[in-house]
Amino acid sequence: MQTFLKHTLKAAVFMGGLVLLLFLLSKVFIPADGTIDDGVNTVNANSIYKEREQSVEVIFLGDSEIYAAVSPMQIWQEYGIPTYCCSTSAQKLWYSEDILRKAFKNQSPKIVLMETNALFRKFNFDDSLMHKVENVLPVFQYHNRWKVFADEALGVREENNSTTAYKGYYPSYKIKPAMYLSRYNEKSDQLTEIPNRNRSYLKSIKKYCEDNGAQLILFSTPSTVNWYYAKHNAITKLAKEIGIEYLDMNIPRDEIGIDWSMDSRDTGDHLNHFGAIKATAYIGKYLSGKDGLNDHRGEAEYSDWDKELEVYLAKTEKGMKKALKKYNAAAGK
Amino acid sequence: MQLSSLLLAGQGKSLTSLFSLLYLILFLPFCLVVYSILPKKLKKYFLLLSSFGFFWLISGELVIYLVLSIFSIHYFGIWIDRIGTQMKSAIAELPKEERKAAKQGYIKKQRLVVTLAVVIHIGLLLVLKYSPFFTTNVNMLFEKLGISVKLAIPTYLMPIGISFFTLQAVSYIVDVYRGVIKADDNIFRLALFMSFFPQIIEGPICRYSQTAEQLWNVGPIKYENLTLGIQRILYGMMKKIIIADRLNLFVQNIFDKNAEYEGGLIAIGAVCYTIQLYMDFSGAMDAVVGTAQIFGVKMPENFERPFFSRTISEFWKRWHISLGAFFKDYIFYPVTSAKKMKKLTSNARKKIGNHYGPLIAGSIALFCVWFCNGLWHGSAWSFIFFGMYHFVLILIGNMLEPIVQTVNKKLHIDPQWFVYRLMQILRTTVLVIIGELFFRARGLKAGMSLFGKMVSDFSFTTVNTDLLKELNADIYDLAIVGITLVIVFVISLLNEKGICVREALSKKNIALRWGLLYLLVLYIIVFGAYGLGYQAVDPMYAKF
Amino acid sequence: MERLIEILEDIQPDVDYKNCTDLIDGHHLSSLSIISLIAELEDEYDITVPAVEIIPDNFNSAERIMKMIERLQEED
Repeated sequence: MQTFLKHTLKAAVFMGGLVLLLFLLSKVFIPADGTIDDGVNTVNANSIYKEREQSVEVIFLGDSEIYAAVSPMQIWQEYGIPTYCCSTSAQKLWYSEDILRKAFKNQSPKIVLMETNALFRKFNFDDSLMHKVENVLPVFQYHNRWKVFADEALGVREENNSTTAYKGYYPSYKIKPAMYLSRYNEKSDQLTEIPNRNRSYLKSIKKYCEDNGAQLILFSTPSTVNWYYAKHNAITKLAKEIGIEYLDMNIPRDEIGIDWSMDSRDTGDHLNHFGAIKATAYIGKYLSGKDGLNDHRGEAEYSDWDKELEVYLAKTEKGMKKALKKYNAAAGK
Repeated sequence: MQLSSLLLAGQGKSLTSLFSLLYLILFLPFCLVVYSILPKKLKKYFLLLSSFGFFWLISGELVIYLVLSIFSIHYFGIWIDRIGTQMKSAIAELPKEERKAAKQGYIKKQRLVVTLAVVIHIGLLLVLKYSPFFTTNVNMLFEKLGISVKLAIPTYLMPIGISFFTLQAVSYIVDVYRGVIKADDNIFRLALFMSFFPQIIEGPICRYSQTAEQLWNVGPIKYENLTLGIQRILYGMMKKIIIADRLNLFVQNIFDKNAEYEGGLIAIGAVCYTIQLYMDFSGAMDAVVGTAQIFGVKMPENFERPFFSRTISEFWKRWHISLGAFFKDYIFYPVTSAKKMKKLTSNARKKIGNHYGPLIAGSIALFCVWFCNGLWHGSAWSFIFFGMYHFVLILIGNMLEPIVQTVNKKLHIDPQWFVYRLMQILRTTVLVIIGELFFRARGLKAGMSLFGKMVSDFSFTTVNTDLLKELNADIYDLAIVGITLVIVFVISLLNEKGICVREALSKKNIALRWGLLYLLVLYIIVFGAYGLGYQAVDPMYAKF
Repeated sequence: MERLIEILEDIQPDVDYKNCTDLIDGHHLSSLSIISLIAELEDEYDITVPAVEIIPDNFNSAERIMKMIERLQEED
């Protein structure tokens, strides 16, 4: 019995030491509050902290489909509505909610547009468990920042300025035609299953938006890989059930005019910059019809947006020129 | 809401990975606590209960397959045993001359029963696992022949681990028939042997004689076993979370994106996949062996540092050992021991000598083994090709052996010479990697085209940092994978020399031990490939 | 016993059969040699070696092999 007690005590001390270490490590790894320096994979989305307080009127929430398809600067150029992409790759809904809360810290968006692909992304018990652990010991969430520390140690850390001109958008100039269009084109009455956990997260996100004076709208960006009619049907049904507006950009195909032989960066999964221009034009027009959103172009407070637009246009035009040159050269061969 | 979902059926799918939080911080600790509180008599029943709970959480109602398997082999085992007893009492009364004939009748009956049992179990596996593959190919054949009949392609829900526990069931029933073990009259003991939770997903495929008694006689948890077991789990976790999962994105990009990469990059992809598979599978085995060790159960090892192998046939004695041993004992030797085969061997030996004589029968048996091995991994032509690839390599190895020996003697090369051994190891590794390329490729066609590209366009012109970015990796990923591989290599080298690192460390003082253990845990937490931007990767062998 | 060692040496030379006790576990006898050996043993000693007997324990040393042969002869 005595050895049993001794061993139990030893194990307890060991575990206590471990938790203490993790706690200390968390202090090292957690980025300063309200900085963009949040993890490695989420810098783009977190750059919303750099925006002037109460300046952004619309935010886009979701996974990589968004930062490949929606360019806030173009919306600014065409309609003067300040928007921002809070999207991270393979975003799961619990993270959508986290990032939404972060965005509302300094901003009061009037509309939150949430991409639907993440609604189908299963996250299991382990994910929610991990999320709980992360809240207590943030080192589990920010552990990837060892790369940032390594950069600092090697003196090659770059100040993250470039993202502000893109407002969370991540342009790609690669051209890889879509490969499998049959499923994308095939009409169906089936319903893809939306996991129960995701339904409840969606409801909670909706409530959070309403409590903070924002309207939540669901939307699907064009993708031949992630979208098919069964998903459309499921979202349409869900949106009706809980009373959310749903905008599916895979339906008015002629109006948007995505050319799948040119406009995808990875065989039909994500859009490239050429596709994003068309998709963004459509979203911009859609938003311009919404009440409460204003054209801020030319306002003194938004002068930095006008300046950034010049940077943005210069950069993207250069990128497109290069891409087209390469594309034409390859086609000529 | 259905009743089944209230009872958490299939709600714990993340348990499939023994490195999931659900397993490591809830399921296992809960089991350990309850297990230590219970009196010794009940411990084994609790293990059985938690094993079924484990299965239930992952596969829900499909647990019925496991239950039926257990009942089936329990019944068949007793049946075979009973025929044996009948035989003994019957022949005791007979005069000596008549005994042999009477015996034959009973043995024949036993053979019939064991055949029936094997056919049922393997048949079920075949139907569940291979009928889609079979019907698809039949349809294709019909189409070629111009027959306008299309069979519906059936799909079945497969319970977790069926490929593994079916083989355990077959080995049990055959062992009873062979008289290696007595049929178990205690169905609970048999059930625990079949269902022990750490091994149900990916093996190892244990024999009744290896684990059944041990599992049934479990006692209180020993502190030493607890610490050694946890260390083993952590070591496996390091392999899986830091190396295998970090390589996953990269490997996916090469094999799944249909992108046209140059040959050199495909080669790198194949190397990375081989590393990923080894780290994933052997890491999971570390967790299985480690968990079992905590309960004081010694599991058979499934890996013996396979990448130190000098030949392909040695490689397969050191990689997925329990599967190889199963095929050897239940296919290879029975085939070569068949009367006709023995005769063939005897005759051939007299005619073509000691080396090539047994090769004919041996090769036929080997063909059967590798056909089954390929098919076991999955129902696709690429897996059959994978099996045949290794069959041919081993066959060539056997054919060339005498020639190589003569050449070595003529050139005065000592086969134990360090450089010679290193060359052999390198060659074997390269051949294994090529095999894994086909194993990973999405279908045989894709494998062929990747291999063709690799050979015809073997260059590294596009390898630079931009490419890394495109493949979702950076220089730090490479660095951390490299460092961790060095750690694993050093530990493997020590093991190869017969030094067990965990035991050696247990003799050191507490500060060093705890320091190292803390370091390992923190190393995994900080450098693990998990969280935002990473996908959790299911154990790779769970799908086979 | 001497006859057995002769047989073994005939099948695969270069092994010290008198003293070696890990013929199988030490990878001295390949599976092909075992097939060969069994065929030879069956001829020589007039026994049948069923597949079930082919386990390392029965083949790890000349002595063990001899024991198995004697056992099988009795059983017959």
